[in-house]
Amino acid sequence: MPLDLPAFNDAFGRARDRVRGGVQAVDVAAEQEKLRALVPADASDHDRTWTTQLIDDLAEPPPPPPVRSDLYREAVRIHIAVYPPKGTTEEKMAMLAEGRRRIWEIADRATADEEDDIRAMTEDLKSMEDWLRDPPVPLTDTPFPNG
Amino acid sequence: MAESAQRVPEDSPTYREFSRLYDLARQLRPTGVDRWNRELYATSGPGGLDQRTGAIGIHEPLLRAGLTRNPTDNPRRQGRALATVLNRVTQAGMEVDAPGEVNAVGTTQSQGLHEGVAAVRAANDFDVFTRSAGYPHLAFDGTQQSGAYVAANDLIQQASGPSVDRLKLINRLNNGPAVMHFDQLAEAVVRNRLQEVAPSEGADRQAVRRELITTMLHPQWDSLAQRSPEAGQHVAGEIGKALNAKVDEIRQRFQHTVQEPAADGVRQQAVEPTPVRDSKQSEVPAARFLSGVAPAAGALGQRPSLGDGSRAAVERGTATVRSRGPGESPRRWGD
Repeated sequence: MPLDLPAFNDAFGRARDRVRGGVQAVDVAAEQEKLRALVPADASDHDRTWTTQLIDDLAEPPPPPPVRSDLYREAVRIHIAVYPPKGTTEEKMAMLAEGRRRIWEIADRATADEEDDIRAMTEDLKSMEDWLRDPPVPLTDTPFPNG
Repeated sequence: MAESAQRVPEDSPTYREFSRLYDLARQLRPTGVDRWNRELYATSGPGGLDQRTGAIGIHEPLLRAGLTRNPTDNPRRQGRALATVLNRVTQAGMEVDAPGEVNAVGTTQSQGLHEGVAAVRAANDFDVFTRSAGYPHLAFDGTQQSGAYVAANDLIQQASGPSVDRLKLINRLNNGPAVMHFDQLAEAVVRNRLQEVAPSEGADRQAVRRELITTMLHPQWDSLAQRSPEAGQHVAGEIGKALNAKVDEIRQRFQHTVQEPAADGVRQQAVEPTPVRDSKQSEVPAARFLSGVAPAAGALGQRPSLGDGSRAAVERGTATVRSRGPGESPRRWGD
């Protein structure tokens, strides 16, 4: 019987939330045992290998958050200044594009370790800009256009 | 700031790997919608999902150097590339519009939440996705993003509870449609906090959800999306307080309705709020809402302990739930 991926994914997510949530003491070994029980005995070697590693890692502390550079923090400040944008639709699009351009410039100067994380800050800017330029649904000023 | 895009040939290793990962990500959290038109582009900018055509774009270095299982000197790039795949799969796996739905939210806040839901899903499923895909242990801090991620993550946290937990809610949101995300969050709040007093499916329940949505669309939502993760926590607490007060107001209103003498003169049983169990909860109502501990964890069937919310809000809550309007149809939780 193959591994039920969605069921394992959800069970692992819940176990991780409990173990790393820090709200109350959790029996990590019991959580691991419950997850192991979800892996069928005749699962593929690949599935047995990666699930074993993942379940074992649950007992380890999560990696510390990365230490951020001044360039990263500068990019965050720009993001905060332009998102969400203000003004007319045209002004909003211009604001988002300018923010994207400035963050992208900062990423060009960042270390290889950090440049992709900095560029990722422009994803929601680009997405909103695209929606404003060519809305996939009519954008309204009030929340419930059908109500 | 226009970006250029180069079509990735379907017989290339990059395309094949993206396609394999795309299918795997859909298996992890299946949906009934697949809007990817099978065109993949290496872009000079961030790329994205083209909402019109269904084409997917990913920043060229992420695509070329990130989507390979070969040993790499930049595992962070690999991690970011795989998170980007999850993001695109999430957005392509749902419709945006929900024609005729009266609780559909048409403001740009729906776009922000749509973006944020994809980021939350990517962070949540990253470990299982990358390991099952055969990638090594990759360090990826999915919470590092500001803006859309913070706002969506906090709203999901606030709406989660014992009946609809965070994972169940993420799964529901992952199915879309995007303009119904706020309604789905509101339904989770109803199920977790108001189930025993809220109307069953239909226009009245829809109206209750609309009240909750209006509270979530508080101007501070924009402010929240604007914050760094640290500063966002404070605003999240403010929105949590507003939601707490609204939940209390709705509860009191429906309890009052239930307590009215029935036609045969017999007084119906009203649901009384239970006392607050934890002193820390009463000191920090927003934190109590955020942590989803009311009702007591796992105690399905127990009454939510939301009795210490704003009495002023309760007193103001005199509006009655309006009856079903034209075009309104009952919605069901599709789980």
